[in-house]
Amino acid sequence: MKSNVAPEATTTATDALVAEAWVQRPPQFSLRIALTVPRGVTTLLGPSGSGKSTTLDVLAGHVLPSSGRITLGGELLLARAPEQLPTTLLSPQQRRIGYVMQHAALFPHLTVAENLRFGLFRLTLKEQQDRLQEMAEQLALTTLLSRRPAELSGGERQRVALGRALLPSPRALLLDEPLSAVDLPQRQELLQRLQTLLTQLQIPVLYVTHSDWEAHFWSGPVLTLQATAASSPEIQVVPLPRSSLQLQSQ
Amino acid sequence: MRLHPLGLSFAVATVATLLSLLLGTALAVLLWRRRFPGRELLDALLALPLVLPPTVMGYYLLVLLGRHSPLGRVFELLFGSPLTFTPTGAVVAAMVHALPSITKATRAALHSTDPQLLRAAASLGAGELRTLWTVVLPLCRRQLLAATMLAFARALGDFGVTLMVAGNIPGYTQTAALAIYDAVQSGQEHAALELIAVLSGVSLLVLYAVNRLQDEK
Repeated sequence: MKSNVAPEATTTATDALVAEAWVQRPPQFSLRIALTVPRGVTTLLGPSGSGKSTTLDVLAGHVLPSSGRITLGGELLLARAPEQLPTTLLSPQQRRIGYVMQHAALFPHLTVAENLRFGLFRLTLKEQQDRLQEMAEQLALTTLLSRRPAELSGGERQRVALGRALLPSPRALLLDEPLSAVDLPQRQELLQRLQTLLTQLQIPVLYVTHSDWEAHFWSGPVLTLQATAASSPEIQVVPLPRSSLQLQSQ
Repeated sequence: MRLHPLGLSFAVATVATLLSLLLGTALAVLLWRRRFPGRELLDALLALPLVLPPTVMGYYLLVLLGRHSPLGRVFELLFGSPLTFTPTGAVVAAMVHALPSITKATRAALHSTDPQLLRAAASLGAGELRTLWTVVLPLCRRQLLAATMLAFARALGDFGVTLMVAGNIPGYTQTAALAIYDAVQSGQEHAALELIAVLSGVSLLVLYAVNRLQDEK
């Protein structure tokens, strides 16, 4: 099973994010995750409640799956056999996976600049300032640096969240419906900006959305989550089509 | 040096509140983030002063901190004076009210922290202490300030625990609340009324400020 998604299977897979995991929260929720995210943008498509955010939380290390194995660039982030304690478990801090959350999750008491700088605490002030300036220019945030999140539009907030996640140079990036809190007129613009930025990145990017249109905007692989039999006591969430995931890893 | 009951009360309440703020916040964080054996017991112990008669709390403290107790001996060895029947004893007595008040309010504030912010901080590499210091506590600062002010008012008003632990020594451990009792007993209504007016005024002011703080949210 695991050999099917072995990282060495693709040309770009040396830095791929590979996960095979089960999340079970009896009696209601059961989610099976099996995916390979190679370098570049991969889209994860599914209706709300199908387990997309949980999938991202598992990858980022915020939710501990009941069992599974996650690797990033060949490094083991999590290994857990069913009904055992994990033998390997890297904390979210150790994983260095950037995470842009659905509602941006900016720190409301900090300015845009302070939010952007948050993950750079290991660098000197000078280095922080240089990288912040560069990122602010790329994301057109230079005029907003002293504002607080409450004074920003939805699109601006997402740009700050993106910059904040990218500044510490993550090894992979997760985006949870980055356009959902953005007004329609701003969406196109933000999407263009994301495209420019994300295609430059030489890391695996997993872009979660419930919109077909957004999923097909990206030229990379599309993974689909489907909730089935929602009325049954156990919601079985199965990623489809598995074959397309496997294509990515062959 | 003879201490005026009001001066002593304010000094004791201030020190007790500051100590309670440090200890109470630490305990609230511990109870919020950690599961450990005895957690429920600690939780219950912290709520005990809310239900037990002050004299019972005072008695426990006397047994725990008195001159013949191990803790009392260690304290006397370190600081050269006993803990009980001193102004320090009055501080401990005031903390009996201030500490639960701060711990309870701080825990409520901590629990209201948006979990997404905690996840965002963790994914940005911030450890628990950094997240606490740069995100959680700044976001709770308003509730912390309100809790601190309420704790101060409660510390200022203690009677029973202070009487048991620090005694009622005029000019040394006699706080305003105790002085009021003595003044009324000995028929010095005027002296009593002065103290009563100051304590009532300060308490009202604190409650008004706390309400304003909570309304502004």
